[in-house]
Amino acid sequence: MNDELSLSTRAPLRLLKYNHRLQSKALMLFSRFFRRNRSLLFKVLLFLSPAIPLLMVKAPEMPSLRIYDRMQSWIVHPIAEVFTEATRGAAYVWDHYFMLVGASKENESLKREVENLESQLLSHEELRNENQRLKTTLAMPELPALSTIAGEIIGQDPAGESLAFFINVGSRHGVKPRMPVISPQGIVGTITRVYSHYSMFVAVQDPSHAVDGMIPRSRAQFITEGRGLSLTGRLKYLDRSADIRVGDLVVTSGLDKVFPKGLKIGFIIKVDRPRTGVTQNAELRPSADLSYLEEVLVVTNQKPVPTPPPAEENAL
Amino acid sequence: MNMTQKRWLEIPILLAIIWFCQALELSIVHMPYYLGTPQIISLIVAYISFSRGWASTVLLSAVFAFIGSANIGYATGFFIAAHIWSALCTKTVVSALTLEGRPAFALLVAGYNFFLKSLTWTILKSVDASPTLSLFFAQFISQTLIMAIVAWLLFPFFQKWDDYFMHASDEDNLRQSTLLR
Repeated sequence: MNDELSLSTRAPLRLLKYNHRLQSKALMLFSRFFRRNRSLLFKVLLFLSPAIPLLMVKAPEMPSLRIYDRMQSWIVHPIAEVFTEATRGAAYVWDHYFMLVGASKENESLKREVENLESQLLSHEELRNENQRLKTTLAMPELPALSTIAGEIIGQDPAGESLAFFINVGSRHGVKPRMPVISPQGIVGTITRVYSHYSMFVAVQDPSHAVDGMIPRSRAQFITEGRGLSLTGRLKYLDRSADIRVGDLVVTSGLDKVFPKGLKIGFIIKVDRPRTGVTQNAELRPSADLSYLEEVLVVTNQKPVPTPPPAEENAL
Repeated sequence: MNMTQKRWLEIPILLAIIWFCQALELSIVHMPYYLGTPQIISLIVAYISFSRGWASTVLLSAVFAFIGSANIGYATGFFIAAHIWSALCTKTVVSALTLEGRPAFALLVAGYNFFLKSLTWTILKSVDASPTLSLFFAQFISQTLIMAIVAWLLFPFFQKWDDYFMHASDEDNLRQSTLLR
């Protein structure tokens, strides 16, 4: 009986001992491997370390401002503003005092251009009056007059991968993230970072920027996306049957809830209809030329204007 | 001036130089056609990977990339990660080859810029926010050339800085205490 018992307990004991021996051998092998290759393992860990800042990025959110960003804005941006102003001042002096050769010829041609534009203005005035009359007749609500803050461009993102610019208006002046930036020529970009006296906007030509657009002539709707170099944009999700031609004006549709409706984006410069597929491709040239921009306007009234009840107006 | 005083003086001087250079980069030192700007942060990180050990390279490149990230239009994490990876790739090249002197440093900065541009473009491509390939090549060629020239010009300054603040002895101490010898 005892022999039987001892036989039944001896086998698991032997297994346990074997397991223990195996574990200690594995541990020894591991520790030897770590001791021999610790330098290599350390390097592997170092190469994996940049994954930490990568994982901390939250793509859909606006980049939040850290204490360092604010501190740097107090020092770097004013100096950059002084440099920009000094360069512009020097360029102004050069253009107005040293480059007067041919100014009289230019003056003459400009005078002729003004006369031409004045005649065009008269016809536009007629059209505006007609439009006003028709709108009143149809009791259509007026598009809200945009309230804006003027800002001067003081610098641009030095990296080159993104078309981001700094302007000299910030939260103190009422600027908030996601506010649209426009110019008399058309839309320019969207505010992404706001400091107390400065802010950063990303231009519509930047690859990360998209605007909901439409063609007033055919009412075709699509998304325009920046492409970076050559400062063009492309039209995404453009229905194959949409009527679109080279030279068409593209305006904002207002559906993205960022840009007000009817602002100029640019002109179609290329249309490509592939043999297959349900969409067509098109390229546009934005009407606001970044190379010559010095001042921009930040649109501050983005709240939807309540539509007046037309029935009451008609009744009155 | 003793060593402790020098240490306390180094950080504000370095920050002042970086901020002044960043103000220049933001405002007037721009290449035409949006080809970007040679950045002081890239030069400093390249020099760190040229002259420091592995651990210092990662730590210092992370710190300097953080300092440089305030003026960047895309996500800060992308910028910092690209700089650390580029510094590590450059460090691998430095440890594989015996590089010394001014021309070697200029070549290394060019290499660093290649790693940085490629990694940034790849990371931005992954979130569909990369510039076109033509812009990438145009920026890469123009910035690499200018960075190499600037690196060649500034190499004696970097060396004098290291000598004055005695970073070589620090690096030796660190190498002896860390895993990498």
